[in-house]
Amino acid sequence: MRPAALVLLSVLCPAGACGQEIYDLLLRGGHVIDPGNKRNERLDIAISGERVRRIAARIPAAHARRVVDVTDYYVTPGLIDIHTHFDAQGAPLNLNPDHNALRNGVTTAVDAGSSGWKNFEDFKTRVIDRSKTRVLAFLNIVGAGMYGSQVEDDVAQMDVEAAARMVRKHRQTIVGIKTAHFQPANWEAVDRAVKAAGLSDSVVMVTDREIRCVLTVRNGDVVWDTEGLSLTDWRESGPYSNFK
Amino acid sequence: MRIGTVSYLVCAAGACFGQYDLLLKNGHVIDPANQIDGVLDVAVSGGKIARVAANLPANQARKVLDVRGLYVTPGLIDLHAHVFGYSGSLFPDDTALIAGTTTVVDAGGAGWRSFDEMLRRVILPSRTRVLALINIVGHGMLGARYEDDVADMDAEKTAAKIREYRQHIVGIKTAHFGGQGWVAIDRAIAAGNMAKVPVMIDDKIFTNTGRTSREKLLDKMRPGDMHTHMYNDRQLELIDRFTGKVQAYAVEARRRGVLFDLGHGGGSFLWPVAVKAMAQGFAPDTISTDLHSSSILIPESDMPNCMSKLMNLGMTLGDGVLRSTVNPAKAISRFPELGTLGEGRVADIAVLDLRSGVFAFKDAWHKKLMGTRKIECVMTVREGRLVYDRDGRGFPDWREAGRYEVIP
Repeated sequence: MRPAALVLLSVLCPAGACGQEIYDLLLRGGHVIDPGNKRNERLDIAISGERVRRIAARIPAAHARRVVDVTDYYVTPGLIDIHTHFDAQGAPLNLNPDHNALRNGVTTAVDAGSSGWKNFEDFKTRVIDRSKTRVLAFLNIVGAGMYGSQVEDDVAQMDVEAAARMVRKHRQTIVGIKTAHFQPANWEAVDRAVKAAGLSDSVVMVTDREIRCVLTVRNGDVVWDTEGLSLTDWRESGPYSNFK
Repeated sequence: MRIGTVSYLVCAAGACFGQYDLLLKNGHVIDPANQIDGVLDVAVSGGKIARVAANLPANQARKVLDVRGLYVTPGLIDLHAHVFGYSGSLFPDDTALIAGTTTVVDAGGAGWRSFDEMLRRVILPSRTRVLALINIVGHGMLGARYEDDVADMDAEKTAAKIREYRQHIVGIKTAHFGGQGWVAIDRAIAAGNMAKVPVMIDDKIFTNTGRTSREKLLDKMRPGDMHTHMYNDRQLELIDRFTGKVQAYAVEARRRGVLFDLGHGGGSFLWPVAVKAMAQGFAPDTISTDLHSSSILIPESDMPNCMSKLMNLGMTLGDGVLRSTVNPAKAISRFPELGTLGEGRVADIAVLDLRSGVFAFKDAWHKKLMGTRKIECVMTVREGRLVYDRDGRGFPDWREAGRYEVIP
């Protein structure tokens, strides 16, 4: 370090308080759109662990272990898709979250009632707990979830108490109640959904320019990087000696 | 209607002479099986290829797609996919059709015990054509506890299941065997001999298994058997570590008819191996993805990307198409029913864009190679139906589409 810089550093840092944090990841030069903080300008974003640590006009590249130049791009909070269907009943009906969500910049996907109180926990172990995508869920008022009109039109399948119990048990994951596809000419499904929401203190859901996601960061990890912005050229990456 | 970009023909009852359901006009057709590599029209009728010729009249078709500047190829055949059983498997319609892949071959997700479930849950409900190499392990690809269980490797029962479902099962897979010796490979080949089908091998050499690549390729594998993961030096020691040359016994095995499959996946496409092998002319016989939950994100190992990666190492587009259509179809004895645009064949078609620019291609270990050419899938036709249309070329502008019939 040059002496001049050393002096400056010692002036700026009161004794013991300095230790500049070294960030894990720095996204540099992107146009940040963060409506929650009224930001819409060119800013750098520093990330450590799973958290955004700092957003500022110029964060030195030397302060991060990994620097990704995103000058040509917009940087936004991970998108939240509030109405998705991710694999509640196994393959045929629904999509798998990670490759559908993450490569489109969606870091949080809310499954809209694919499962009900009877099969939510199966959905949770098979899909939610295994996904890199944050998957939340509306619980279908129908116990077996979206299982076709025979089940979804049957009010006997809509157990308000059991649905509310399931919501209370999984508050971290279940964000509300869903009612959908109910064909009989009455309000029974909606009424029961609202009642279950009331019992569980949650909400009810009743149903020329390309935007392309180039990079997705989830929990601090680069999980999608189609332009290879964060990756090294294979010839410069040293020997291929270890598995990841 | 804009002339020259998209023409969309709607035939009122009786007013259409259309002998064709669909006409792809002015595309560059690559159909290696018929030595076609030039600008031609492709007409489809009743789910089959009706004609491939120059200047087919647009008024003979109910729907005309102008694909000038794009390549029209047989639907791609992914010889190594995971759509059932394996924990990272993905539902095929979710990943294949958007990539121009109309046929996927599941590589060992199901064994003879679980194949019926695979048929019901995945094969029958999919729009993608799903074929299977069934695992020599009866339970299929459920992890080491099952896959190392020699007692569950029953050649007789495996062969019996193949005979029962010849229309769906095209061969046998042995994979991930962590035990010593040749028992998994021997039983897979025994079952293959009984049912007269090929075996695909995914084998480790890194741990002490008592197996060598040389013995496997030259003494065990039969002509037509496939070694997958060819560009992963942990599965197959393709490149001699000291000389940097492709192993002489690999060249000899290829000469005898052993096939080498790409099987990109999350660990099996490494630039140092691929670059050396391609520079010595040792390209994959069959290009395949080993697409699963961890190979689809950063490495993006779908079929067009696998082709692109090889093209940036010197492969021509025509050769890439050959190794993604004709060769895999032949490997599973489905040629010429699959893999060509021959007249009368099923109308499985990929429309591809060959882009120029600067693109990053990422290997299984997340290192990149910057390249200048990239294949992208623009449209997919499966059994005569347009199932994927990225740019909406086959559809009218909504303002010109007439009335939207409202559901009563």
